[in-house]
Amino acid sequence: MNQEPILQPDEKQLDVPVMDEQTTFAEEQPLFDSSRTSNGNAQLSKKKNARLIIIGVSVGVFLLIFAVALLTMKKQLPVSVQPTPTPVAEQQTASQSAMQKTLNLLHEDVLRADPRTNDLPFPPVNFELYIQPK
Amino acid sequence: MKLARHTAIIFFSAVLAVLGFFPAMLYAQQTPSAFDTAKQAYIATLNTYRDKEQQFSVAHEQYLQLQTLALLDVAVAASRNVQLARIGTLTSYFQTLLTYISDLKGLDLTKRAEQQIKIQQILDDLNAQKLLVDTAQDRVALDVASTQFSGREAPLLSTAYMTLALSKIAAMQYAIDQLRIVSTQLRANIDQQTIDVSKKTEKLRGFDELQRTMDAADVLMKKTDEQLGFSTNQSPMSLSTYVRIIDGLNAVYSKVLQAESFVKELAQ
Repeated sequence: MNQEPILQPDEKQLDVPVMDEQTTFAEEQPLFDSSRTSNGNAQLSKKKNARLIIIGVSVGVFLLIFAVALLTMKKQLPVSVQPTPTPVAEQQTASQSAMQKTLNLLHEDVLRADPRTNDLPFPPVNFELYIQPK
Repeated sequence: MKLARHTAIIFFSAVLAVLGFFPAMLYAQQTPSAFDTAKQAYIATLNTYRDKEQQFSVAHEQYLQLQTLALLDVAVAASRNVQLARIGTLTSYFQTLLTYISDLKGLDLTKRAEQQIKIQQILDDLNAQKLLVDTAQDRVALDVASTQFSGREAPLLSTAYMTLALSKIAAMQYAIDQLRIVSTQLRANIDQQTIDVSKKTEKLRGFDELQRTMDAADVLMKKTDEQLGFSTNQSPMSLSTYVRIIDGLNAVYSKVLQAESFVKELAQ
């Protein structure tokens, strides 16, 4: 009457515990199962590594975007010696079409051609410097 | 697992390389040009000259009032200092001009070479003058050196004004050339565009207006160029001639601005 549950030959060889309690949740099983601990550790370290890689890649992408943004901002700064007023249109350089860029370059050339500006006036030196008055 | 680790290592190496590369690029962009460096040096020498001139003025005044030997020595030292500072300022100024025209767009190559020779001659003269002041030991020798320097004023001014006039003409010519190039591109764009007839006609009319403005700018530019050609035959070039050339360029510039506004309208 008191018969043992019939096990398949494969199950016996692998020494897999038989689930007596069928109402136990499947997720709870590994926590109380000492035979699966080593396997669980390996999975945990795998998960950790994957998480590290994801974090590393995210940080890398962020730094890359930051560097590109920094470069773009620096490009918009005028390099000219003379303080010239920056036109509002030039601030949108990044999103401008090829023709717009050509027009911006043309505008710079036109500004540079302004005859009213003089970067290098003759130095105001005194040509009459004598100890003995003449 | 190994593949993931290798991928991560390669990625981080790439990021580090990029992060190292971008600051280097930023630094390269911020590095001042040869012209900027020369100009900064010139401004520094000019400030030094102003200080020395002030010191000379005080020493000279005191010597004239009291006429003592001690004050004469102070005045002689101040005179030597101010003369050297004056030469240093002008040397730095002409070196800046030389740097400026050496990579100026639109400047005729022959004119550039001629002007570079003239500036180099000026720099040689200034160097000779410096040696003269260096060797002068007393009041008489320093006043003789100063008199000699006064004689150089006209060629110095002439060379400076000529270089400035040439640079202004070159910049204007370059702007006109660029306007021509852009207007040709615009014309090609208008021809290729599939817009309605009335809009195209309007654009072509605008283009004709642009051409007329450009032609007017060319005529005015030719006149200004002739003015400069006439001036080069007269030596030395005076300030009034330079002002006349600038006036001529102002007329050209108004046409250039007009042409630029037409170009902007046509590009829309």
